Amino acid sequence: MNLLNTLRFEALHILRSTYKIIAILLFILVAVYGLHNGYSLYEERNNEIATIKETSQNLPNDALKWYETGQKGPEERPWVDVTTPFWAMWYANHQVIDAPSLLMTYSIGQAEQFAYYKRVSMWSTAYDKDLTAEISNPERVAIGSLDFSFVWLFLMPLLLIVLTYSIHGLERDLGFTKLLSVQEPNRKSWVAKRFIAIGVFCSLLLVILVVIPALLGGYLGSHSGTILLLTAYKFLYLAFWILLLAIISYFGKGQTDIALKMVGLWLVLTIVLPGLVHQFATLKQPPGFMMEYINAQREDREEIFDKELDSVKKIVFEAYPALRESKFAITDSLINQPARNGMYRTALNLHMNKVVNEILANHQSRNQLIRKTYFINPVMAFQNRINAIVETDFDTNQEYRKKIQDAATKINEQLLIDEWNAVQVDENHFRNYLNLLKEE
Amino acid sequence: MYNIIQNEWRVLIHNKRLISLLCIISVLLAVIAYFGVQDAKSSQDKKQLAKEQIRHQWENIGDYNPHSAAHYGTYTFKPTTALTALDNGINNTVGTVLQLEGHRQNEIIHSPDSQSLMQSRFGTLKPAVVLQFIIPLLLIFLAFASVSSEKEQGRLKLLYLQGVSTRKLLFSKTISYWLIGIVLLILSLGIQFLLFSNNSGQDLINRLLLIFLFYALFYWIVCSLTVYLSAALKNNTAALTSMLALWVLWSIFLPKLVGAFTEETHPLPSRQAFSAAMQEDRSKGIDGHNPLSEQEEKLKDSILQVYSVESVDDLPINFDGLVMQADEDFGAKVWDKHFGALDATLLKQKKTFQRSGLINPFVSLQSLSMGLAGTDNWHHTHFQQEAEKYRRVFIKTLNDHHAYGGSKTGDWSWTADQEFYNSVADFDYQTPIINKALPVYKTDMVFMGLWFFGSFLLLLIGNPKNTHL
Amino acid sequence: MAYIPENVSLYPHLSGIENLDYFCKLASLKYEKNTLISFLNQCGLQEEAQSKKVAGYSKGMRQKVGIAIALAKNASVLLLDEPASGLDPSASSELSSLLKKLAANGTTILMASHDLFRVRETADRIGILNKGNLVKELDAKSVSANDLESIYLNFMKN
Repeated sequence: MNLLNTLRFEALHILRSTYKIIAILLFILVAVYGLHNGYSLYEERNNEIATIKETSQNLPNDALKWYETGQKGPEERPWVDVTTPFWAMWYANHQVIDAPSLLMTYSIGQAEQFAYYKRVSMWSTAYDKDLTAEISNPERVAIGSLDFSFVWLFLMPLLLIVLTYSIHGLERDLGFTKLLSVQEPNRKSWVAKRFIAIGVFCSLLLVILVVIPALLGGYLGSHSGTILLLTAYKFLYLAFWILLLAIISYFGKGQTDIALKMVGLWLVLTIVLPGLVHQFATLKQPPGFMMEYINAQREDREEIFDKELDSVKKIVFEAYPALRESKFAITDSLINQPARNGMYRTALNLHMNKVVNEILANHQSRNQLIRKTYFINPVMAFQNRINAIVETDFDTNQEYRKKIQDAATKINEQLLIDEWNAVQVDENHFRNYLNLLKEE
Repeated sequence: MYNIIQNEWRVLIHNKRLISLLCIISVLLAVIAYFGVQDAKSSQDKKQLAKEQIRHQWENIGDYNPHSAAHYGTYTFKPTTALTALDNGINNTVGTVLQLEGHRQNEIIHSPDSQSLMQSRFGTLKPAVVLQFIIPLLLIFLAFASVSSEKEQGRLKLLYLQGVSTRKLLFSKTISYWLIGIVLLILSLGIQFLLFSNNSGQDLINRLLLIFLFYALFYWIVCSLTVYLSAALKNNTAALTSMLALWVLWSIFLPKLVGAFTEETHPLPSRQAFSAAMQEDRSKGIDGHNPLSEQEEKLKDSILQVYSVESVDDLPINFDGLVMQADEDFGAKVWDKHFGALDATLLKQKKTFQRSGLINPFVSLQSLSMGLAGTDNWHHTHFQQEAEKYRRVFIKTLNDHHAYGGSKTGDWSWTADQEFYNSVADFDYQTPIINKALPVYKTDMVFMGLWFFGSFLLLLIGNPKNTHL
Repeated sequence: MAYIPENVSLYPHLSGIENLDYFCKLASLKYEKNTLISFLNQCGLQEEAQSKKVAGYSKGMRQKVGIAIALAKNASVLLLDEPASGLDPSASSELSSLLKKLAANGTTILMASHDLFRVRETADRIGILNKGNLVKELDAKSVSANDLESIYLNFMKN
C-alpha cells in the first residue's frame, strides 16, 4: 500500500473516533495556549525593558542639563559633583539588559528563573542580590510553566499514544491478524507504514504550530535558520517517539497491553528518569548557598580595604599598566581621596572577577554532570537543546552574568584611569561615559 | 466480601508480570525514599555549617561601628524540613539564602533550579512524585479489567448465584486494589519515619498521619472510579482508556492549565512596578543617610526637648542612631504594606488554583501534600516573615547601640566591642506546627472529602451496566 | 489464495466498502469504487448496508465482506474455516449458493464444516477428517445427507 492510501485510512481511523478527535483538539488548544504564554512573556519583558530604557534616561538627562547650566548636581544633594569622574559615571546610569529572544514563544525554558535587566555601576557583580527573577508564584513555577516545549516534549507523546495504541492492538483484540497476513504478509512494514502516517500528521501539526506564530510575529524570514533548526529537533524528537511506540505496537498483544506499555514508557522517560537523574545530581553536587560569594563580599572585602595603599596599588597597576603613566602615579604625594577610593574599589572588582569566574566554572561542572546523563535522560536532553536554541537556557543566563561582570570591570577601569588623571568631566567626556558600554 | 478480596489477591499473585511490576515499584519507592532522606540530611548539615560559619564571622567582627555592622549584616539559610525528603514542593524554585542588613529587606535568593541546566519538569524524584503520579496509574492498571473481565469470562453469573450483590462486588474489588496502594503508601512513609526518627516530634507524626490520610483518600477515589468504569463501560479497553485520559487530565493537563490561568486572573506586579511603588512610599519617610527631610526635623525637635538642649551636638546620645531607627520603623511599615499586598495576591492565586479541586482531586492532593510536608509557599512566606521580624530586632539592637552606646552625634568612627556583638542573638527559625497551616488548606480538605464521599456513593447506589446479567 | 475465518472481524468503525477497499489496497489491488460495489453485490451484501459501519453488521454480513475480500483478490483457491457456524438458516443458504457460484466460475474452494447437511448441499467432494487424518473421500452427489451422517458417525466411533 502506498503512503497516500495509508494516510487516507489512518485519517479515517482517527476521524471515526470521537475520543481521538477530542484528544487532538485538546492538544491543539493547549499548544496554542502554550505559544500564547511564551509570547506574552516575551511581550511583558519587552515592555519592562522599554520602560527601563526610558526611565534610565532621567539621570543622564539631569546631568546633561547641569553641564549646560554649569551646576554640579541637584540642590538638595550638595555632595554630588558631576564634574568628578565618580559622580559622572554614577549619573551615566548604565543598564545591562538581556533582551528576550523572539523565539521565547516556543520555549520559556528557564527564563522565568532569572533577572534580565540590571543597573551596572562600578560596584556591581554578576551575582548581586538585585539580580532576582520577576515576581512569580513559586507554587505555579514549581508545577511548571505551560509553554510550547512542554506541550511538544511531554504532551505530544501522550497524543501519539492516544492515536496509536489501537494500531495492531485492535486487529489483535478482534482477531483478524490472520486476514491481515493473507493480504499483507509483511507485518513489520504494515506497522511501520501506519506509524509513519501518524508521524506525517504530527509533523504537519508541528509545522503549522511553529510557522503560524512566526508568520503572525513577522519573524519567519529573519529567524528562518533558527526556526528550521528548532523544527528539526522537534521533528527528531517526534521520530524518536514514533520509533519507540512502533516497537511496542509490533510486539504488543492487544490494545490494553499496548496502551499500558506505552503509558509506562512515557512515565519512565518523562517523570521517572528526569526525576531520578535530578535527585542523583543533587546528591552528587548539591546546590550551594554561594558562600564563596558571600565571603568575598564581606571577609575578602574587609581584607582588601584594610591593606596599605601601596600593596593594593601594586595589584591594580599590574592589571592596568596604563595607570603607571597617570598623573598621580608620577606625582605620588598628591593622590586625592577619590583616587585612593578608586584604587581599593578596583582591587575589589578584580577580586570579584576571579570569584565570579570560579562560581561560573563551578556551575559548569554541575552542568557537565547533567549532560553526561543525557543518554539515559533523552527528554531533558531535547528540552535543554531547545532552550539553548531559543536562548532561554541556563547558559544564556551565564553569558548575561558575564556581560554584567565585564561591564562593571569596564566602568571601573575607565573611572579609575580618570580618577588617577584627576579628570574634570565636561559634557563631552560625560558623553563618552554614556557610550562606554555601547561600543561592543 | 472477605472471600472476594482474598480471591482477587490470589489471582493477582499468580500474575507474574504484575508481581514483578509491584516489586520494581516497591524497590523504586524504597530507594528514592532513602535518597530523599540522604538529600535532606546533607542539605541540613550544609546549612548548619554555613550558619555556623556566618555566626563565627559575626563573633570575630572585632571592634566595629554598629552601623557598619548593620551594613555588614548577616545571612540566614532557609532550613530544610524533615519532610522535604518526602515532598520537595517549591524548594527547587525558591531561594535558600537571605541577607539580613540595615535599610532594606532582601529577597531569598539562589534557588537550586537557578544553578544548573533544566533537570526535570515534574521535580526531583521524591516519594511524593511516585505517590502522586505513578501509584494511581498502577492502581488504574490493576483495576481497569476487574469487573469487565468477570463478565467476559462468565464468572459474574457464578458470583450472583452465590448471593453476592452488585454493591458487595464493587466494594470488594475497590478495597482489594486500594489496599495495595495503602501498602505502598505505608512503605514509603514508614521509611521516611524510621530514617528521620531521631527528630520525630509530635508535629512530624501529625504531618505524616495527615499525609497518609489524604493519599489514602485519593487512592480510594482512583480505585473506586476505575472499578466503577470497569463495570459500566462496554469493554476493558474503554475502561482503561477513559481512566488513562482522566489521569492525564488530572495530573498533567489541568494543573498546568489552571496554574497559568490563575496568573492571568490575579496578576502579580512586575518587579519594576513593585519596587517603584515601594520606593515612592519609602521616599515619603525619613531617609537615614540624607538627613534633610521634614520628618527628621520634627524628630530632632522632640529629642532636643526631651533632653532640654539646644543642638544635637549637645545631646548625650548619638542622634544618628535615632534617625536611622526611625527610618527603619518607617521602612518596616512600607514593607508590611507592599509585601502584604503581594502575599494577598499570591493567596488569591492559590485559592483559585485550589478551587479547581472541585473537578480535579489531584490538585487538592498535590497542594495538601506540599502543605503538610512544609514545602509550600505558606511555610516559605512564614520563614520570610520570621526572618524579617528577626532583622528588625537585629537592626534595632545595632541602631540603639549606635544611639545610646556612648558615642556622640556625627561620630561614625566610634566602635562597639566584640562583647556587644556576641550578645546579639542569632536567628533560630522553628517550623510552625501544622495546625497553623491548616486553615489555608480547608478548601483542599473539603474537596477531597467531597470526592471521597462521591465515589463512595457511586459504589453504593450506582447500577453499572456490566453487572446486569 | 484467500482465507475466510470462522468469525470474520473487520474494522468496526469503517463501512463495509471501506473495509473491502482497505484490504484490497493492502494486497496491492487497485479497484474503482464501482468494482468494489460489484464485489459486494456479488457476495449478496445489500447496497444500503455497504456504506454503513461494520459495527452494526451481523455475522453473516461480515462474512459476505470477507468473501468479497477473497473474491477481489481473484484467488484461485479459497479456504473457509467453519463459515456457517452461527449463521441463521437463510444466511447459511445464501452462503452456499454464493460458494457454488464461485466454484462454477473456476475457483477451488476448500471448506471445513460440521454442518453435514450444508456440506452435502454445497460441495462437490467431501472428505472426512479424524484427528488430522483424511479417513474417507466421497463424491457429494453419490450420498444423501442421511447416509453422510451415518458414515461420519461410524468413523467417529472408531
